[in-house]
Amino acid sequence: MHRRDNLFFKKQNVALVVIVAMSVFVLLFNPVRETFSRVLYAVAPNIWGTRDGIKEIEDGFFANFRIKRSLVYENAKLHEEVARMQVQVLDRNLLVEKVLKLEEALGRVSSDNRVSAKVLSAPGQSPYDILAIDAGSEHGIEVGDYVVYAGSGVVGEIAEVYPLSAKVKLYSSPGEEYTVLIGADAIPVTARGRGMGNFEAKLPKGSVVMAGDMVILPKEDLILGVVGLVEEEQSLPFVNVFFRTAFNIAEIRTVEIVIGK
Amino acid sequence: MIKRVLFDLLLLSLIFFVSWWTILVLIAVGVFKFPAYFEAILFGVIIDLLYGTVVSFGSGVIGLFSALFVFIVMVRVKYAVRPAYSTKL
Repeated sequence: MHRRDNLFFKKQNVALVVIVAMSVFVLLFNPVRETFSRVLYAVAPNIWGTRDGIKEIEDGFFANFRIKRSLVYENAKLHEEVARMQVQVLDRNLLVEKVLKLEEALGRVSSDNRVSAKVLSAPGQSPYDILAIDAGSEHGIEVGDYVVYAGSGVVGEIAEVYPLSAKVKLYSSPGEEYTVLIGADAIPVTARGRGMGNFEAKLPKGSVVMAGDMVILPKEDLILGVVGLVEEEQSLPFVNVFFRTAFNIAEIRTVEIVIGK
Repeated sequence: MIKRVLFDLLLLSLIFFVSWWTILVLIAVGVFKFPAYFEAILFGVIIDLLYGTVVSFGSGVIGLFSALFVFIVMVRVKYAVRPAYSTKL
């Protein structure tokens, strides 16, 4: 009996090893991963779509009973709107600077082509700093396109594209590094992502940076974030600058994709 | 068997709506409750396919290895508290 149980145990161990090996193959061999992802993303947007539908029905049914709740919901919506408008104000400031520079350069006009998309899945839901959006290759989106919020608050780049959906890798993904410009003096520095819209950067001591300064992605003059904290220690030859996106990245519901940049 | 299938369907649908660590907790419950709960690994793979990319943090395999970790830990726990089931994963 004991011998038979041992054999059963060994067989199950072998099964586990085989399943894990196959899973690793699926996830690390890119063509296979892409195929499985594509199949999954053929149905996933519809499933995510039902969440909004269920919420609408629930809100409608309980509207009369939940005045307090609706006020809380309205408050949350207004907060989101304020965050969006704050970014748009930053955007306007940046535009004024841009226009002045353009006027200096005898009025060279630039424009970009954008597609709006709804956020299907926020980063807090997964171990990755990824947004799933409901626009894909059929809308002209390609890997590497910039994704912005409220005009010019850049959040990330398209990492994977499916016909009607896409995955956006956020710039704030842990370990990701980008060259950015900080402050009024536009000091170039390497920023490192810390997850959920947070970043850190090390600047030489004596750099003039303060809380509230803008951080810009130099490639497209898009706003990456706003400095929240400048930490200086006497014993260190640099200052730590912590900044974050001007909005709560977990609360954004729509984004724009800058096509062909 | 029906309970197991229903639990699998519940987990499969919740992957789309709840946070990933909630799924890990439910995987732990599944490993503890059902024998040889290899579906745990499958759910880890689905999390990676759904939310991860090869270019993202953790090379897009965090879900798989988290699920495997929970599976191994819960098998040990089950072995410790339910010795009668020691020969079953």
